[in-house]
Amino acid sequence: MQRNLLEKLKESAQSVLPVCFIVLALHVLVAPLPSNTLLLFLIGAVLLLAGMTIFALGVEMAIMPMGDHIGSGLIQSRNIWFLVAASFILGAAVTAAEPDLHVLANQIPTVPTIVVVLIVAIGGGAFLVIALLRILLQIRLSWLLTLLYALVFVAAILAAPDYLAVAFDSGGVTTGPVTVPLILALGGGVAAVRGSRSAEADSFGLLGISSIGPIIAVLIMGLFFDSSVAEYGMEPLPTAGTLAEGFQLYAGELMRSAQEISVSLAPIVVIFGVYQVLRLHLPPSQIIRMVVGIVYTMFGLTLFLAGVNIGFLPAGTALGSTIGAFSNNWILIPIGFIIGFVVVAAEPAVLVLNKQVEEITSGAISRNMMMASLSVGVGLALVMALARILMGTSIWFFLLPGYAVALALTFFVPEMFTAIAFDSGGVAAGTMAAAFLLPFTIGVSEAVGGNLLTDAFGIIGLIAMMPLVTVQILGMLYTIRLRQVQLEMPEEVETVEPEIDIIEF
Amino acid sequence: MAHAIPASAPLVLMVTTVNRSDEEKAARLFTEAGVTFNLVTYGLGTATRSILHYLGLGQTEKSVLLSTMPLEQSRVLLQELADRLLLNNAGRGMAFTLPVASVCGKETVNILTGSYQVESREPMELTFENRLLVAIANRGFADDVMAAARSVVQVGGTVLHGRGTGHGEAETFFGVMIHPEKELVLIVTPEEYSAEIMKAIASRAGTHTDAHAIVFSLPVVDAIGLPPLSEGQQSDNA
Repeated sequence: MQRNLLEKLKESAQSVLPVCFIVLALHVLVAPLPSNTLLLFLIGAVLLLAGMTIFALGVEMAIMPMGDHIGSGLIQSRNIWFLVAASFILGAAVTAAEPDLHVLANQIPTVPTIVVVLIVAIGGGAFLVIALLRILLQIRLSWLLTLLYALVFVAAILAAPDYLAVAFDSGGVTTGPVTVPLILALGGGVAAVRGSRSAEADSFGLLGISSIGPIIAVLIMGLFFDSSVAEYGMEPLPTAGTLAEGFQLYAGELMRSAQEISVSLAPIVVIFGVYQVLRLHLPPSQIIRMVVGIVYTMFGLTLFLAGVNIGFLPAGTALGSTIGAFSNNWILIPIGFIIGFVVVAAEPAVLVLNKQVEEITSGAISRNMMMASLSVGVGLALVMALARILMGTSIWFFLLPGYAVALALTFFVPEMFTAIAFDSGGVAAGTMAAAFLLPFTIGVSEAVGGNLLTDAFGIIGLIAMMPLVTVQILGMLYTIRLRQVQLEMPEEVETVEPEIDIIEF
Repeated sequence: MAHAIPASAPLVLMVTTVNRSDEEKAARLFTEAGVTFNLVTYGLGTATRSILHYLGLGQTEKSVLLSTMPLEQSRVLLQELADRLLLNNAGRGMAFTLPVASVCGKETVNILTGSYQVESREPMELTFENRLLVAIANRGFADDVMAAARSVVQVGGTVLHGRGTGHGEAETFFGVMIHPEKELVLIVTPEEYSAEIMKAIASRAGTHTDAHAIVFSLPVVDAIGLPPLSEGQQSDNA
């Protein structure tokens, strides 16, 4: 039928089907799932595939062009105060609208929800401003990242250990599936109107910097408020005995997801609407297209979230607790690597990021290269998280060296890769990580009798960290290979001036 | 010189637009044929009906390959492209060649010619039956340009992104140059329609509109993958 739709469907199938296949293989070979869990999982898989396809289409039609227009508009205004004010409002509004933020706020019961939301939103807004100013002032990314992460770790030492996990988790709050494409396109829009050599590299890095904001905000908040954290409360797992009950569960979840998604889309639509009326004046044909795109985005994400929350979450928990209860549970380590390896492909935001990277570099960094390094990164993160649960190691033994290596690498790889790497950290720790990998580790932790709170949250922090390392290593390999290719080329550059006669045809 | 090229063997620049999934196939076809100068960039194929445009189903991602070769070889390669990549089927892509007027330096001639050995020394008659229309519009208006063009005859288009320079001195902000973003629309069409299409673009999306499009044309030596001619209507093919 439609080539474009087919392409999108193919892309989504490539990202969603591997994880479905692995879960089914585990079901058959290692850990049989209860039949109702399997039923919900299969329905979920179909919703995931449909949702991802429609979401990808909608993002391309609406969210990306909106971010692009806003980004180039900010620079073209040539008014520093407008740029600061507008990007702060945008950053704060999209952060405040993230559904995950409200879950986070509930985990800190001693501070009123509204205060948590406000403080984290201010963090998100302020750091988006910092990220944009960095591009204008041409501050080197490595230095800024080192400085900001030094701040994070100083604040982290002062904070209570339980609170720490919540703080690191909040970095993922600003990288929901709506925010990621918007901020990525914003960076692309800024870079597109610039005529400098580093423009390509500068279109990335906004996400990486702005997701540090909430972490610092939450840590600072912990210094002033009583920072006791609520017990991690597992919601009862959805189960369904019959097909009818399964559909009922999905119907309820679809409503809830639709509501969540509309809230997180609202600020973007409102801000863009104001911008369109006051300054942009795009022709109706483009606006109609964006409206259709917004509807697609909403519809697609709703299907996706419902599929993940009802279908994948119980399956993840069941797999984790069954395999964790084995006497030789070391088998978790290789299984964990495989699961992590395939799950990251099914993150909706990862699809968007990889595409943007391929587009901006005109294919020099292909989406397959990106996917490979992200898969290895998340696979390794899962290995670390599971090893930690089995051996009871403190998360600091992984986080400190991990970030030290990531920051050290920033001084050796091209800035482009550093920017992409730090963007991809938060992107990898997205919906699937929270709704499938986290339940999986919770299942394991329960089975082996670990500390739920510290074990459970460790995984998100590790997933957000490992891509920083692996994507930069990709950058290193890429540069080395490029140098080799250049060396292999015949030495044509001689100091003798070449003949310069003109040959007419 | 490794192998002398007669100055009379004319060179062409071949522009090939294919779906991204076919890019490697096309690139391999060129390198296997001994073409040594190949550049790839990304572009977009345009929607063919406005309803598809609104539904987001029209645009397809394309790879645009630029290669140079002797005219004689280009005719063989165009045929192979048409056979192997089915470019004459709707929505698969197109390819065309532009004449190269002159080259600076014999070494460069060798690079641009590749390893193909020219057989016929006879000068070839070029008829230029098709034209390449190049329209440059403000960003986001490529579809308006295409709609104007399609009001005359059925055409396919490829969109490339670019930054506009010029306008006297570039404006700066914190020492950073600011260039307005532009879209470059490439349309290949038979010579007899080119004037009318250009007029349609100028009147419906010209400098007096938001699209601010300017348009000019270049002679095309050969072309494949053009849509079948059916005047003044819009159909489902890309």
